[in-house]
Amino acid sequence: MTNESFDNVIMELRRGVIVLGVMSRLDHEQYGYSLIKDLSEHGLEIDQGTLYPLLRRLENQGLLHSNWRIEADRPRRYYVISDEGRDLLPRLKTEWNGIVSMMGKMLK
Amino acid sequence: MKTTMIDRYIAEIGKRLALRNRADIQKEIRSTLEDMLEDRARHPDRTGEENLVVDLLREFGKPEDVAASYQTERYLVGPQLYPFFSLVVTIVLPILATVLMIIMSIGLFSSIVSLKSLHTKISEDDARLLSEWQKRVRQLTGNKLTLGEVAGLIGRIVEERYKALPEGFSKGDFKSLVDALIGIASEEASGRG
Repeated sequence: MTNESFDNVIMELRRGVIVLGVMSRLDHEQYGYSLIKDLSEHGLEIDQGTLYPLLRRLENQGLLHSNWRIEADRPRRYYVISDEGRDLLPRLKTEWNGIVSMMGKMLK
Repeated sequence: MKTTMIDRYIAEIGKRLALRNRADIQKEIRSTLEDMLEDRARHPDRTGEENLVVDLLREFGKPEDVAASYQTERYLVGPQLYPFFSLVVTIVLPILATVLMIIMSIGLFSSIVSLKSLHTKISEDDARLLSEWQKRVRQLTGNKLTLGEVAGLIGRIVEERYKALPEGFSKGDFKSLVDALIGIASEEASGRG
């Protein structure tokens, strides 16, 4: 397997996890760059090219809210989970735990 | 220096974004770039501001790639309809063109024949032969699928596609669809006859 296709498989694998990670970290307001650093501190490395379009998509789906604020002379777009997203998150967590235990058994 | 380079970079990205949310995306990218730059400037191994920006932009990605990441996938022919589209282009259209050409050349030929029969003096035997020929041509063109019928048939396939997809068709197995097509054609023929 070439490195590139290996990377692609890993990317596919991580895609859904990133959504869950982002939603769980947006229980309080964060702007994009602070979210990247936050996720990275938790061990989830994600680049801007993936995160920003994802945030936009989640907002379009109504799972996040965003608003622009000027801070330190710089406009920043703050994201936070919406009520709809807040309702969905526990269900996603349950689903995730199910996947983890199922895959744990399967890969034993 | 730093501002103009970032400006140009963001303008390049903007060119490739849909107008609807272009300004918004650009604003967000700029804000992020400035955050990152500030972060890096604080880092001890700084090598001068200009290099910092160059490195940052290089790392951030080519403008076309950055812009592309914001696009949802766009299709001229979507993945669901693609097998059908491919079938039409590779099989149905050539058949259609051939049939059309045959019909046209027969039409042309028969009109030349009738022109000749009008304008030349011919023996009675020849005239009988010609009119016999013309009758046959008419029979032939009458019995073949006309253009309208072919178009109808294609319409029928589209309709059928949603009702009863031949198994395997969605995976690009054209043989199954061709079989179905032949089935429909013979069904139509027997229905008429």
